[in-house]
Formats: sequence, structure tokens, C-alpha cells
Amino acid sequence: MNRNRIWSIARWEYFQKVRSKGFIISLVLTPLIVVASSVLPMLLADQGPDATLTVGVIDHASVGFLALRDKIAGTERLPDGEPTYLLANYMANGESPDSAAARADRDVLSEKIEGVVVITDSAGVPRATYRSANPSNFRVISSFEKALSSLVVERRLAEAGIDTALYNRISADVDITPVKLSKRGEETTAGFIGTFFSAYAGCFLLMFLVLTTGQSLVRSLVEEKSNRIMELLVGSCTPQELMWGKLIGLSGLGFTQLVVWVVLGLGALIAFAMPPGMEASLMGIYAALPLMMIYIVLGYIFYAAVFIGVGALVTNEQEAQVATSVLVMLLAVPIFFAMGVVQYPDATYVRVLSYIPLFTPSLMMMRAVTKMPAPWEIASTMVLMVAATSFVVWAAGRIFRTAILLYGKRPGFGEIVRWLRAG
Amino acid sequence: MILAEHLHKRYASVHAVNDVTLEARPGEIFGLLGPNGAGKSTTIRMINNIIAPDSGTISYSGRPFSDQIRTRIGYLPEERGLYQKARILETIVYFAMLHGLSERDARTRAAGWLRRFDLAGSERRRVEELSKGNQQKIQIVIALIHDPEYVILDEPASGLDPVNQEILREIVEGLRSDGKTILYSTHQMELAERICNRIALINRGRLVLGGTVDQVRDEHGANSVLVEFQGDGSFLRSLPMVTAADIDSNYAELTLLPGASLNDLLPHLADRIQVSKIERVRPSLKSIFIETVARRGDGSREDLTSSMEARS
Repeated sequence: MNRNRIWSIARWEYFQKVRSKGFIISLVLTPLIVVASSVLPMLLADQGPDATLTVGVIDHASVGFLALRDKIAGTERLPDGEPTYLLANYMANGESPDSAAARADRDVLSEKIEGVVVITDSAGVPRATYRSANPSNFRVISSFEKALSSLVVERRLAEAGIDTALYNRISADVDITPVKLSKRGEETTAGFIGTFFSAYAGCFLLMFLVLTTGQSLVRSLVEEKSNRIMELLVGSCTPQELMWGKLIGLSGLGFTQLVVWVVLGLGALIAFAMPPGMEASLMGIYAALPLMMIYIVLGYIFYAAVFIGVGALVTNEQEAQVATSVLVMLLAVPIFFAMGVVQYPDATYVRVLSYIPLFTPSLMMMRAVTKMPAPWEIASTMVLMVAATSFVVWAAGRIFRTAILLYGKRPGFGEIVRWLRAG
Repeated sequence: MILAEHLHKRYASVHAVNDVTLEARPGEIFGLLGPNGAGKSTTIRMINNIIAPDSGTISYSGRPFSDQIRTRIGYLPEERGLYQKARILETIVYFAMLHGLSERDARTRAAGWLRRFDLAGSERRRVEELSKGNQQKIQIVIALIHDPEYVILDEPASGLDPVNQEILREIVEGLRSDGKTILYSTHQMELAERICNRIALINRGRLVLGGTVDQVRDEHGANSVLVEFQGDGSFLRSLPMVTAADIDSNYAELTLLPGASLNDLLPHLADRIQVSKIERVRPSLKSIFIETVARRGDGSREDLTSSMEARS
């Protein structure tokens, strides 16, 4: 193999793609989409109501409208000091319960009130229903649950002749602060959300790196075949040189993306104050960073070689679409496991799946930030990954060598196996 | 010199190249002729080391193929294309560098070639902005920019207008004077007759004719007749003493049965066409081609003639 030629090819592949509009757009758009789809829902869900909501109350259980109103007003306030909820008593004018309920429902539907809390008595225990056009707003429900529970407890304390102040002194809320221990003795507090986020980060990074460069690789192979550039290329270099040139150029492209995204990400974190939990999760990533880098590099080369092998077989744009989307789905599989991995990183199924090369990088990255796997597991998955990557690069080379000169007809599986066997 | 001996290549059910031997010498243009699907491109791809022959040997000035040889081959494939989004100069420089030129050297030479093909000033334009003929000029530049010792051109003139065909012919003849070894595959028999020193005719994977153009014409020269006429000459083909015919609207080249004379032919012509000239000639490569291929039973003569005319 001629190194100068490989270098020329790598440079060509890199600069032709790095300057293409598609690449520049995906470079900027991808982080935006990732942020929008992963961080925004989290932030938005944390946000309380931003204006005072009117909620109707129908009290069949004699909890007491005024007591409830005071309770809610005492605990729930908007950031600007205004009360979060304005309560409307639908039983105030001695209406029959049925007509009050009907009136409240009408008001809900005509959007005069956000919803109505109907409190009934079930053998001495108050029960409540929340009727609203949007009953899934768990903020409203949890506010009223808290207030009602507290009222019931106070009433029972009074019935039992216990002083409320005494009760408050006796009862205790115990919060548990998670502290992560690692062999190196560092302690970093990382909540579930933080760990979950950092476990995701590595997998997403790998997935989008592979997705964007893999797609452009397959597309360029299709172009080279359909425009018959291939004939000119293989007249100028060997298929092996062409493949290595592409692999190296492509890795350069991936590395460019990685650097840009990491810089953008850190810049964004510094520019906008970090959301709570983010700092801790970043600490988790720092500790596992060297390991994650190794897995990302191995995973990237592995998948890039898979894309080269598959791309060489593809003969038109439609086939390219199908092939890339199947590969991307495979990459996304470990992300479905993220929730489980973060809670039980040592579960048997996680450990077994870690030895399937398609999933190894993603799963091991998740495990590394959650709970560092045993050294022998790290070593054995890496050895496996290096072996699998070498095999895929070798196989891709064999397929590439023959398939790039096939136009029109896609080879069958048996034929591909024959190429792999051929010396 | 390129020497290919006893090349064989089989695909699933086809013996695409069957015992082909050819020798292209320095300072010569070697014409590789044959109908569509005869095995010309397969032969060329084997000589280029793009595909391996099943058996047979190829040597370049006595040495086997090597990476060094690769950089000394200039190849213009029949199926050819360029990166459509890339710029013209960078495309030429890229392929020149793959053939071992330095970037600076490649740029200087590219400028000269672009001037020669009347494309100076379009260095920064994208390939897709060029017409098909102009894209082909870029491909010719790519094949020749590294001053290759072995020049392999597969249908180089197809798609070029007459002016550029003429430029191409001058370039190829210039390469010959420089002592390069040129392998020129084509369907254009008139052109082959004009520029090739020696030819090989391939049909159905086999070599059916070979030698210098003069030799080939002399060997087949016995019984060829040129007729210039007015009227509908299509009946000439079916005359009993005619074995092969290349008929144009007012010109026909006929091959007669051995022993048949002009006198045998004349009575058949007089009452059907207006003859303005009739003479015994050495056959053109085109009529030798048609006769040879037809005699071997490769489809009907009409098919061959029309397929050739469509290509040339």
C-alpha cells in the first residue's frame, strides 16, 4: 500500500465533505436537536404554572373550604409572590351538590376555571377527584394532595388531642443524599437524573458521530458507483488504499465534529448557568472520560468499517437510505436500555449484552459513568472490541475490493461469503 | 511495450476473454477493435490490473505489474465519471497526486492542459457546470497529466465534437512521436485506419484478426469493390456474388465471392442504380470488420452494421 496515496485520498474525502453544505448544517443542527429533545422537556417539566390558576372546590366531606384555601395560599406561591391558585367555592350559595357539580363542569369546559377538586367522604376518609380538561397536570394534583393530606392529619391530631406543634416536632422528613463511591476514593454526588444524563451523553455522541459521517460515506460511495468515478479511482489506486483513505478521512471528519460539539456544549454550559444536577453529572463524565474516549474511538472505527462494507454493496440512493437507517437503529438499541443500566449496572443481561460488539461501546460507556465495571470486564470487552473491529475492517476490505466494481446487480449473501473466503 | 499473452476471463456463463494475446509497442498506436460486448473493456481492465485474469500473463516492458507500473499507466475508462460537486482544478490535481505528482507540479501541468483544451479560466468552476464533452476533456487530462509511459484509451473520442476529436488525435499522435505505448480501443474504424499502426480485432472474446493495418488490408484485399451511385442501393447486399456489404446512401463497399469479377457484378447494377464510379479497392477496416464478424456468425450483418454506425 502506498502511504502518499492513502493520505491524498483521506485529504480529499475530508475536505470534500467538510466543505459540503450538508455537513455544515448537521454540525450545527445536531447539537441543537439533541439539546432540544433531551434537556428541554426536563427543564419544562420542572417549571410550575406561570400565572395564577383558578380551581373550583366542591367539598362533600367537610374538610372546610377556608382551611383548604389558607393551606394552599400558605404553601403555593408564584415566583413573583402572587398566589399560584385562586380557589372558588362552588358550595357557597347553598346550591344542591348535583347542580354545583354541573355548574363547575360547565365552567371547566368554558375555561372559566382550570379544574375542579371534588372532595367526598368515604367512611370517614376524604377522597378527592380532580376534574379538568387537562387532568394530567401533575403539579396541580400534587399541590392539592399535599394540602388535603396535611388538613386531614391536622384534623385527626385535633381529634386525638395532640398539639400540632408537638406533632411537627416529632415527625421527621428524612432526605437521602446520594454519594457515589469509586475505587479511587473520590466522592461525587450524582443524582439519578445526573447519572442518567451523563450515561446518555456518550451514547448520543457516538450515535450522531456515526450517523452523520456514515451517511455521507454511503452517499459518496453511491455517487462514485453511479457516476462511474470508481473505474477512474481503481485505475489510480488499489481498493485497499481507497478504503483506508476513506476510513482515515472519515475519522478526521468525526473528530472535527466531536471537537466542535464538545466546545459548543461546554460553551453553552458556561454561557447559561448549569441546570441543577448537571454539575454532578459532568463530574461523573470527567471520571470516566478516558475510558469513554477509548470506547468512542473503537465504536466509531467499528461502525465506520461496517458502513464501508455495506456502502460498497449499495448501488442506489434508495438502498442507501434503507441500509443506513437499519444501522442507525442498531446503534440506538443500547439507548433503550439506558434506564435499566443506570439503575442496575451489574444486571446479568447488561453484562451479557456488553459482549455484543454492536452494543459494547454504548453499554460500557453507560456502565462506566454509573458504576465503574470490574477491570477484567473493561479489559475483556476492549480486547473483544479490538478483535471485532479488526475483523470488520478486514471483511469490509474484502467486500469493498470486489463490490465497488459491481454496478446494478446487488450480490446475494452466499456470494459475499465467497468473497470473504477468497484469498 | 505492453505484452499480454493468452489471457482468459470467465464470468458465470460467459467466456468473456478467450486466449487473447496482444503486443503494443512503444512509438505505436495499437488499435483494439471489436463489436459491443466483444471483450475489449474486460481485456483493458485486466491490463490495468483492475480485475485479475483467470490465466495468462501481462508484462510492461518485460516486467510484471507493480505499484510503480501503476503510476506510469494513463487510463481513460469507457465508463467514466467525475465528482460533480468538486472543482475542476482540484479534481485534476487529486488524480495527478494519486499518480505520484507533487501538488505544485500537478497545478502547473493542469494549467497547461486546460489551456490546450480551451478551458483556461474555469479552474474554480464545479464539474457539474461543464457540458458532457468538456467533462470528457477533463478526464482525458486526468489520464495524461502524469506523462504516462503506457496510455490506455477506451473509446476516447466518443462524445467529443469534431474539433475536439481533432485535438485529441493530435495529442495521441504526439504521444506516439514521444515514444509512448498506446492502446486505443474504438469502434471508429475510419479513425483506426488513419492513426493505428497495428490492430487486433476481438469478437466474442476471441482474437480474430491481427497485424499492421496494411497487412490486414492486403490479406483481405482480394475481392473488394467500391461503388459510387445514385438511387436505392439496399439490394446490393442480397446479390448472389456479394458476401459482405457496407452500404451508405451513395457509396457502397462490397466484398465479392472468390473468383467473382466486376463483370459479374455490372449487369445487376445497370438497371437499378445510376453508377458514377466503380473500382476494385483494398478493403477498408470497417468492411473487413463486418465481413469477419459476420462470417463468424455473430448476429446478422445488418445488426452489426447498424450497431457500428450508431457508435461511430
